[in-house]
Amino acid sequence: MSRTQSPLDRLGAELEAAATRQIATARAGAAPMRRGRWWARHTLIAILVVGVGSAGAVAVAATALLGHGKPVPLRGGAPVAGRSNGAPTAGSIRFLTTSVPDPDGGAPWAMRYWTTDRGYACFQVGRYDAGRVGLLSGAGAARVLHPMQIGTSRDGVSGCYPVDGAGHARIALHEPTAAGAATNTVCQDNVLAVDRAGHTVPARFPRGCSPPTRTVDVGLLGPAARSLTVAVDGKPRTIRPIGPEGAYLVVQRYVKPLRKAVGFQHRDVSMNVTENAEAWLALSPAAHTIRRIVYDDGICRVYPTTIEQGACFRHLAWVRLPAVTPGDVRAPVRAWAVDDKRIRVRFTARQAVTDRRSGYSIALIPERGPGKPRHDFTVYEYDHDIRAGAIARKTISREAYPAGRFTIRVRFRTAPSTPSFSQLPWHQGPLVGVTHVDVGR
Amino acid sequence: MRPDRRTDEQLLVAARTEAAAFGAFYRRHAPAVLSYFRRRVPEVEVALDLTAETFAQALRSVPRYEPQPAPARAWLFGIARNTFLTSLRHGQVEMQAREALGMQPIDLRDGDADRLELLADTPALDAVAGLPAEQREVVLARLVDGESYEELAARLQCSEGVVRQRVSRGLKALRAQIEEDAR
Repeated sequence: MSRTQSPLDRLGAELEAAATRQIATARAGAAPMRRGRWWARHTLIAILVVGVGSAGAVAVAATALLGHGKPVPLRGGAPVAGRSNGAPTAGSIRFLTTSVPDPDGGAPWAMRYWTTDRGYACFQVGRYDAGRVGLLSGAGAARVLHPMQIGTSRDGVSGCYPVDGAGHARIALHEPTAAGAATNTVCQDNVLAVDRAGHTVPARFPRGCSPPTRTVDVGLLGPAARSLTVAVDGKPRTIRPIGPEGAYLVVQRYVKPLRKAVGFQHRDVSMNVTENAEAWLALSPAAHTIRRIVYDDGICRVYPTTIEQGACFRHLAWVRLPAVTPGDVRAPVRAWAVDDKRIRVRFTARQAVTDRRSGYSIALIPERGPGKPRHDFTVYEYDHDIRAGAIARKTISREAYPAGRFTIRVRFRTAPSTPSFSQLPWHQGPLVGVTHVDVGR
Repeated sequence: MRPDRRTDEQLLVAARTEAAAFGAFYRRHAPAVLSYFRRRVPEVEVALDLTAETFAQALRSVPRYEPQPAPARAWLFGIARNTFLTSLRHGQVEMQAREALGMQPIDLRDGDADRLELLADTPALDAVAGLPAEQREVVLARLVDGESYEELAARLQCSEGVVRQRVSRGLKALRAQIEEDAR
């Protein structure tokens, strides 16, 4: 075949060859023979790959029909190694599924997963096309897929959640979305609120929002989950969680959230104030769309609840992280004025910071006394990675306070060892050391 | 290669026993089918894929093809429309017919996309974009998609006379536009 032939010429030659084969087969009186090794091989690959829950090769066999538009912006910028949620660990980015059908057909739904260098497991859920996951806009032939970048997207179902001591996260989301997987443009079916006069007022919706058309149940149940029974269109369906992450993704037409009446109960039911009876985010499933989960240690029957732990808290099999004692962190703290506003603080970080569950905090406390504010202080976080024994240095500002004497108090903060989906180092944590510094006088 | 003087219908009937006849039918209509898809999908590679599947489906239907009062071009564009809609519904280009025929994929090389863009580009179809909406719709449906006046009238809920008038006005405007562009 000449290299100067156009693709249409090459297609013509291929079609004529196929026509010759078809004629020969018809003459032989047999059913058309399949010569197509290429197609057969790729179809087989696609099936096998879907079977193991990854999707790289599906895109090879499936030609994209969608245009690809601007990527969905990231919340907080691109991931950075050693800071905040961290950057993806090498080789961890993969699709857990790319074949969850949409109720109206079209591009399937997918779940992309990765772990980070700071102890987080992240996932994104959206429509899938040609190896990309994202949000659909437009309609019909003008549909465009806006790909999600690796990181926490500003729109759509995505997030990062802390892993336990064995490297597995636990989370269950129950989210209303648009058919194109967007969440920002959807009028969240929120509870009613009460104004000062006691009248119920509708919750505020984003301007120009449209009613949700899909309900997405997605989560990570951990390695102990064996099966999951979900209600799709009210009918129970049992599915197997994907991989050691125990991942699941269920997409169906919008399911109205369950409500419960709270506070004063009025005779006229329509005047009662109601709130959601199920959490949209919990450590284990808490929505009525999930019926039961079979774990290694027993069966959890899911009931709607608003508690953070969800309905299957007892089955989470969370592997605790080692606790840190005050003796593990104590070290001298030095502080001096750089100029009349800035203070340099220096201390030995005896405990390494390797993930987002721990960090050091530096409290700047102005001297108390007559005419000085009481119980006023500022906390600066030192929350990026540092190895054990290294010197931590941070410059802080006293600008919010008048010149004077300040106390500097450094603590090592850790997340609680019990599971929590925030897992941020909110606890005060053991004291590293205290020092004093005069600034601006 | 000398153009085949047989009609589309004669070519399709001959294609039951003569591969070259289908080749001639393909060469006659491939740019129009490619152009039809190019105006509906964002990437020319996808348009080529849809074109390949459309002709593969047509080839598979050749043994059952019987000439109809409607032109063979309408039959072909009916297949193209179904291929497009089915692919849209499934979110990927159908490949059943190509699989069944054991066809090899067409690898695109450097510069192929540009050549395809040129092949898919027809000044008449560009000029159609400048027509008023009601004329544009019927001209495309009648001349590109091959819908009959009767089908169009039923779909647009108006009489066949109205459809004919819109097509006629649209063509007149189109002719004037192309003549002006050519000057």
